[in-house]
Amino acid sequence: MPLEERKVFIEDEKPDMSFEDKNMQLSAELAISPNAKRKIVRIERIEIGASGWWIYYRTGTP
Amino acid sequence: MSRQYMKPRGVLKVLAVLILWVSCTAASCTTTLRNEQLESVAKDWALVIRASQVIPVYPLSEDLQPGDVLLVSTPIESQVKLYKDKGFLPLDQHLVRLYSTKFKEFYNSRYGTQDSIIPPAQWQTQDAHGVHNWKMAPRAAFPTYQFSVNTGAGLNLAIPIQGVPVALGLMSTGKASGTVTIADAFTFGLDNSHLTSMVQDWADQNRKLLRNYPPRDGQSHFLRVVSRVYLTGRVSVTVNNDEATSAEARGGADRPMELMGIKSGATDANYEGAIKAINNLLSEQLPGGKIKVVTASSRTVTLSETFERPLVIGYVGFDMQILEGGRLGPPISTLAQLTGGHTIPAYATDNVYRLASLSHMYRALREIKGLDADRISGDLDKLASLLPEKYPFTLYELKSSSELQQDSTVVVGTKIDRKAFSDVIDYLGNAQKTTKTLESYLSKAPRDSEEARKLDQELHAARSALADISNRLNGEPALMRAVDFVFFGI
Repeated sequence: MPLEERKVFIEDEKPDMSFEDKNMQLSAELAISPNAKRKIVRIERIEIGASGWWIYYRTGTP
Repeated sequence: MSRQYMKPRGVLKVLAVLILWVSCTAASCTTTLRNEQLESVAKDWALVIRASQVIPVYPLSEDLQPGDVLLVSTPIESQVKLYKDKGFLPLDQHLVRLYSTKFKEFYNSRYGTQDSIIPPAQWQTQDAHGVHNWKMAPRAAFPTYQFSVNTGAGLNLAIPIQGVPVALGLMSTGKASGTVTIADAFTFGLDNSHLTSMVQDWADQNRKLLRNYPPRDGQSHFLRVVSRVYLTGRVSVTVNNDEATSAEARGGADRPMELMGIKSGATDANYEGAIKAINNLLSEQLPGGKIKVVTASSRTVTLSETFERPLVIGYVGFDMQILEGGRLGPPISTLAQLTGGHTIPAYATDNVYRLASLSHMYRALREIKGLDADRISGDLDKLASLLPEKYPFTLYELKSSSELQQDSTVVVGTKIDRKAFSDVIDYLGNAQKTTKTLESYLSKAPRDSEEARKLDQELHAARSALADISNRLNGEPALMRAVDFVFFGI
């Protein structure tokens, strides 16, 4: 299986979340499936258009 | 001693044994029959009360009140059977009576509630004329119930008042129908939220005791908390003669039944005199009884029985499961549980934070190491066998805020790893992610498209999978033991 970079979007669970709440949600999402077993290479925060996190991960083998 | 004399003695012995056996059997039969009749009375009366969504108390008692906590030892399945067979549940294991001082707050000072007195004390108190104050208590009303009886079963009619056999005798009938009215009914109770915290506080202080009742072999003990009771001060029964026999004193021929002379044409004075005669007779026949005949004819007799003080006829309440280590589960409606409406709520796995905590707990357990930790961890790993062999749903995530993405590895039919508890957490995480993602996506998408219909089915599959595994995990002692060990060190 060829190496491939994919991304998923984790939307904030409610509007106007505090920093702590946003981090807590991200932390919980990363602790469980489907993200727990992924090879995550990058995480980005977006606030424009939608609020949430981009999780970039790699699949396959080089 | 010659054989001549031995024979008659032998016969006598056999006869004596036979007589003894027959007597014992007859006595045993009578006892069995009486027991069956008594149980039948209890059940039928209980059915009358149950019809009003109240759990019946039998025999009627003054000594039951909100805050009473019963220990339910029989498995819930057996309780349901017992409840259906007998119509009521025995109150045999009264564990504790919790006294709440919140009645005044709950009733906002109405109904004579005071800070210092716990109901029903203020209503039971008698005034100078010996009259109690129950008239101040909150009222309740029950519908009128109909019944029919015939000779044989008739005298054991399912009403815990003594008047019905009398009525049947008065009318000289073996077949009758009638109505029961539960009059002068009262009710009082407390809110479940307050009672739950009271029971929880008590349980925290008595965990040592409750620890003796952990779930075993899929069966649990419960604390049954009475939250509201219903009382009656008077029961009226009207019995109609279905045989419509003549006014001959056939059934009551062995005693002076002048009342049988009552006919439609009787004058008022005669009628009143006859009723008085009946009541006099009743007071002689049933000493201490408060039965009064209100009206009587050969076709209809109406009796009314007043209790000295109102008696509890039923209650509503909730059950709390006793978990591993003596902790208590959430409150569940007793009636719902008994009628099979709903049992124990599913293990809460629909929340990302709870799942994350479960994952952290499992990791912590493996880090703690040691004999106990290994054993508990091993027990958790066994729960992986509860997972299905293949994924019954496909994992969906968001690619962007408005775009869906179907996973390439977690799809319907893919084999599931079932080796360790981490596999259970993975499965729960995938089901939960798909459910949340599709719920959010479908709430914004047009509902009548082909895609929406397909995604609806996918959502249903993920929801079912989540509910199914949650139910399987529900009440698993291994999970409770792990929580106790990791977080409380016990």
